[in-house]
Parts: sequence; C-alpha cells; structure tokens
Amino acid sequence: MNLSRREFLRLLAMAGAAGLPLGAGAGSTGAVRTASRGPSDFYELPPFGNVSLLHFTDCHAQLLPVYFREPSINIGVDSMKGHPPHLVGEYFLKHYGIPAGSRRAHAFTYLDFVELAHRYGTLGGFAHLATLVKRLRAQRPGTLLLDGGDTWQGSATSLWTRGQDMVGAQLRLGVDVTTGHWEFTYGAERVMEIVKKDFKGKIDFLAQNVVTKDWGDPVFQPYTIREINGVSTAVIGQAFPFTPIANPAYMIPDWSFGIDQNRLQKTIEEVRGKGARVVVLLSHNGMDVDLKLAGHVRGLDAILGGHTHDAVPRAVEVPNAGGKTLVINSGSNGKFLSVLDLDVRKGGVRDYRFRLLPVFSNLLPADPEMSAYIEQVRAPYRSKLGEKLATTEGLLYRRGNFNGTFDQVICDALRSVLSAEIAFSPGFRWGTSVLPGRQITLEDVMAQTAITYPVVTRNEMTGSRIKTILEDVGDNLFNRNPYYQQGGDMVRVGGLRYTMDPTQDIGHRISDMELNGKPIDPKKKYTVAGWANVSHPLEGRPVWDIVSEYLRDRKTIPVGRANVPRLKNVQDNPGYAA
Amino acid sequence: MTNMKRRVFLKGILTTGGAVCAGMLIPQVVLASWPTTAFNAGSVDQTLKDLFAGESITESAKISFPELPTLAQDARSVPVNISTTLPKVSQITLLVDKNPRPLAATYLLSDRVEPKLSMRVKMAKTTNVVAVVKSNGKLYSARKKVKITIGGCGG
Repeated sequence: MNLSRREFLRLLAMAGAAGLPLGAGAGSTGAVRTASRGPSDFYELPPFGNVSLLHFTDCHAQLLPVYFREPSINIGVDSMKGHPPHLVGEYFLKHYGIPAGSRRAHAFTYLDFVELAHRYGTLGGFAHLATLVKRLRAQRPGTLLLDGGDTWQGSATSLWTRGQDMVGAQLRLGVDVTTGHWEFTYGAERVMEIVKKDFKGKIDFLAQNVVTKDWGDPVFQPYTIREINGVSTAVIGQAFPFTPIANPAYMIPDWSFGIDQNRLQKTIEEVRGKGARVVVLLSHNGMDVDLKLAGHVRGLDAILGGHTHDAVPRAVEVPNAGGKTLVINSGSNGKFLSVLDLDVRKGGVRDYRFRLLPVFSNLLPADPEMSAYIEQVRAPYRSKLGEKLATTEGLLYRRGNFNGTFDQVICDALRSVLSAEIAFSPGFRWGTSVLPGRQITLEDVMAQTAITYPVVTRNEMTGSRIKTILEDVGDNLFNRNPYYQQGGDMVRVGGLRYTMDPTQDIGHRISDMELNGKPIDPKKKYTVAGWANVSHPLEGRPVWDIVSEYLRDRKTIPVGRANVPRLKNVQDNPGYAA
Repeated sequence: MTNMKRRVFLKGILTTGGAVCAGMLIPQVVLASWPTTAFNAGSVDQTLKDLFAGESITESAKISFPELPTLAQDARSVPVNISTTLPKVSQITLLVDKNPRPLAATYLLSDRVEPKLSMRVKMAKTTNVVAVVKSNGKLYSARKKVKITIGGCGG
C-alpha cells in the first residue's frame, strides 16, 4: 500500500476525534485497539455499535472511475464563512489535519491535482465501490446503503438509456433507499415507471417534500422503517427542494417541492411515535441548508446529505431543541463512501463513529459482477463514446464557484460556433476532469453536458438584463440565508469580464462588467449564447454537438486560466485560494 | 386590473371556505363593504392607511406563514398560508409589498373561526409578504420574504 504508517496513525487519530461521543463515557477505544495492530489496509475500519449506515450521493452516473478536481473556490459568506463545507486547499488540510500530498489530500482537495492524479490514480467507479460496500457489509450485518440521488444523470449512457444503466447499477450495488433531484429531469412518468416497476420491493424512493400541486398529497413514500439488529431505524427522504426552479418545471408539472420543515417535523414525530429509535434524513438539500435545518428540527439523529457535492471528512454536530443532529455530506461522482456506525441503546443513539472513505480504484479490486454489468451496458455505445475529438494541453475541470477550464472550452465553443459576443453556461457542480495531454472523447464532453434540455440558444440581451441575470444567480449562490440559496455554482461566462463581491446583497454584487476591454452599456444589446434553458422545451442543436464540432476543428486545445471574475472581500476567506 | 383583483379576492374567499367552516364566514358583509380605495392603493403604507385609518400596528411573533416557500416555484401562483395564535381574530389582511397593487386579500372573520387561511397569490418580483391581523380590536403584523428567481443553473 502507498499509505505510510505515520499517515495511517494520523487517520486513526482523526477517526477517534471524529467519533466524539454523543453521550457520556465511551472514548475511541476501537481506534486505539486497531492502531496497536499497525497499518494493514487503507480501508480497515473496525465495526462499531449496532446500527450502520453507508451513504454515497451525487455520483452523477459515473459508472467508471474518474478524475474529479475538488474546488479551489467554494466561498462561504456571513456565518458560513470559514466553516465546513466552505474550506478549500490548505485551509481544508489544516482544519482536518490531513498531510499535504497524501492520498486523502488528493481525494479532498485540488492541491497539486495533476501530479497527485498521476501518483494515486482515479477514484470511484461502481465496480470498485461495490467491492468496498461488500467488504463493509460483511463486517456490519444489517447495514443499510443509502444513495442520496443525482444518480441517473451525468453521463452519455445514462442519458441515452434514460437512467436505466444506473437503475441496474443501483439494484446490483444493493442500494436500499434513495431520493432525487436530476432524476426528475427525465420527467414524472419516467420517474414513476422506475419507482413502481424496477425499484418495487427492492429500493425505496423516498421524498417527504414532494406533493401534488392540487391537494398537497404525497407523491412518494415519505419514509421507511427498518429493523437493524433489533433497532427500529427510520429513514426519511428529502428530495432537492428547488427542483422546479433550478431545472425545468414542465418535466414535473403536477408536483410541488419545498424544504417543508414543518412537515418534516411532523414526519419525525410520526416515526418516533411508531417506535423508531434512530431517525435519519436522506437529504438532497445541499449542505448549508442541511446545517440550518438541523438547527431547527428536533429528533433527527443524522442528516446524510448531498447536492452541493461537498466531501466533508467529519460529521458536524448541530445542537437543537431536541439535542444534537449529525450533519454528513458525502461528496460526489462516486469518489466517496460514508460509513456511519451508531451505538444505539434503549434511550437512543449513545455514541457514533463516522468515516468518509475515498474510493481509490487501485486500492479496491473491481467487483467482477458489477464490472461485467458495466461492460454490458456500455457495449452498444462503445465506439460512439470513444470518439477522440481533440487533445487537451492543460487540465480540464469544472467544479468551483466560478468558471472552470472545461466551462471555458464550452463558452469558447458557444461563442465561436454560434457567433455570439457573450456565452453563458450553467454552474453545474458535476462534470469530471481530463488530465493534460489526454484525448478529449465524446464521453468526456457528455460528462459535462448530458442533460434532457441541452438545446443551445442565441439571444440579444441588453447590458442591464445581463447584470440582472448575474445578480440573480449570484444571490442563489451567496445569499446569507441558506434557505434562499438554490444550489449550484455561479453561471459561467465567456467574453464578459466582471467584478464580484460575494459579501454584498442582490443588486450590489456585480460591477465593472466589460467586453473586449469596453464597459458594458446597460442599454446596448449584446448577442448571448447559452444552453440549458429551463422555461420551455426547445427545438435545436444540443450543446454537445456544438462543443464536439469546435473540438474536432481544433485538434489541440490550449488551456489558459479560467475566466474567474475579479473578486472583492474574499482575500481572507478560507473558501478561496487564489 | 379590477377584474383580476376581484378574481383573486373571490378565490381567497373560496379557499378559505374550504379550509375552515364555510358557514362561519360572512362573505355578504365583506362584499357589501368592498374596500375599493385600499385595493387600488399603490403602496403598503397607503393601503394600510386606507384600510385602518392610521391605527397603530404592532409586530407579532404570534402570526406565522407555515408553508410559505422561501424561493417561489411559480411566481404566478405562490401558496401563502397565514396562521395566528392571537385571540379573537376578526380580520386578516395579506399584502404583497412589491406587487403593483399590494393588497391581495382581506378577510373578515367571525371570532369562532380558527384563524388559518390558505391562498395562492401572484407575485411580481422578490418581495415581503405582510399579514395584518386584527385581534381584540388591535392590529398586529408579521412579514416574510419570498424570493422570485429567474431559475436554471442549479445543481
């Protein structure tokens, strides 16, 4: 193993620190006992307690191992400043005591990304994840596997099979419970088809916060109660509360979404009334919303969350009127698996251990059954997926509050192919990375663009309209109240330059907008290219066609700095690395 | 404009009828004293002046909007619930601050009606909604922000 003894001991010390007892007594004896045996395996994790939950989220249909660069900009404003998940790079390593250059440093941060990617290889992949799940399950009888959603979308094959490849993978992985967000972009009918046929009796698709628009009736089962080693354990589902705003509402015209804190409180009381000794929320809220929610509702032992793609190595203990709730967010793209071990007694959860395990593909042999399945679902598309479009000279990535280098390529392609002065590309948090010198395949392009509303647009917009859009999206990202945040990052821009102060209010964050060195005139009209329009279905060319055409024409792609706005009031922000 | 407001007003009454006991409302009385000036007022201050003739209004934590979304899913039809634990409620008024005509509805209630109302209201842009409750003859208010966003780009 590439893991040094010292690093392993540090990991164990951290595991002990992470497992601070909820109640009195009970130290980290498990960790101490194992440490004396020495390092044998990166994934050695002694079982603890009597109820175990495994959690992954936001895999975005990445069946195969990936490179995925974590953000160098993930700014937290106001009370969120400097707190998890708004820590990047060195700040992150320091906060969690992770040695620079280590495997974990590579999994959790962007630091020396290319060098460490070559050293440690890819992460994730369902065949490797399956091996890890099986190993942990063998040690932990009765374990539940929770999938936080954003599972059916994010790849070419998921789009082309309308999520079917991932449904098969979830069933084979042994997912017990899931919820949704991008799942809904296949439309209400498709979602119900999977939930009622493929998942029937096997996977519970839960959402307490999706109801019919007319009578407010629940659309999905809100919770499930399972006996785990004699402990009645309730899992409540929370789908992405702002799906009809962030994604096309016309896909789900009869359903209403929301945070629905009051209904959640009632649901918790209902399952407690039915005897649940452990109650957890499988959430697609995003971590800032999870943290706020945890402070406002009573009776949740843990929130296992996703949506904002934050990989947070320690559970955050949030105090509330009912005691304490652990908030866990488990990263994205199949890179991580959370292991939450609970010691549950008569009075409820007494102690816990939590670990967020990076899934290193070269440390975990591929599970043969899952490998064969992946091979089989990819076979019909293999030649199409592998089309080599161009070679990239630099690292291509997306994740971060502002433009990544892959967004830059997409914006350049839109401006060039559609002859537009300015390009907008959505601030999605999914989208894998391509290492310098590698071929960009159609599959890579699809990993940035595979959505069910991909049509490109070319519009004329006044300078003042452009500012309104930037302000609006900026407020969805940096509003001081997480309940007014929509998730996602800032809209990516091509051509346009601007200054942003994330600490201001809506209407005052954006300034100094310019195009080709000239100030943007509020009254003048500019041509703006974009994609992923959410308002109504469009006919036209999908964005992957435009990007592929652009790449084929160029053969090699030079990669400069991404078009990140000039930023104000972030110099001392631990969510910002220049 | 008048037709639109009338429709919103009537919808409010119907919704209320469904939510509580229809027989306890006195819509005839309400219609008889249709507050034309208040419904035409262009600002919250002017509306309150027209409706309550300058009576003082106290902020109250006993008024809540239980299911009001923070981000509106559809600005053309935002669900608004008003609920209060104040005693002897005789009137509940809803204003949408940033709408061209802020007064969305005013309900006259018998004190035997449980003061819980549900309605759907169109909102022009990000705004505060303001509820004014008459309890024991005195006025109390509460407000909450609803954000109307362009949408897209999430996730």
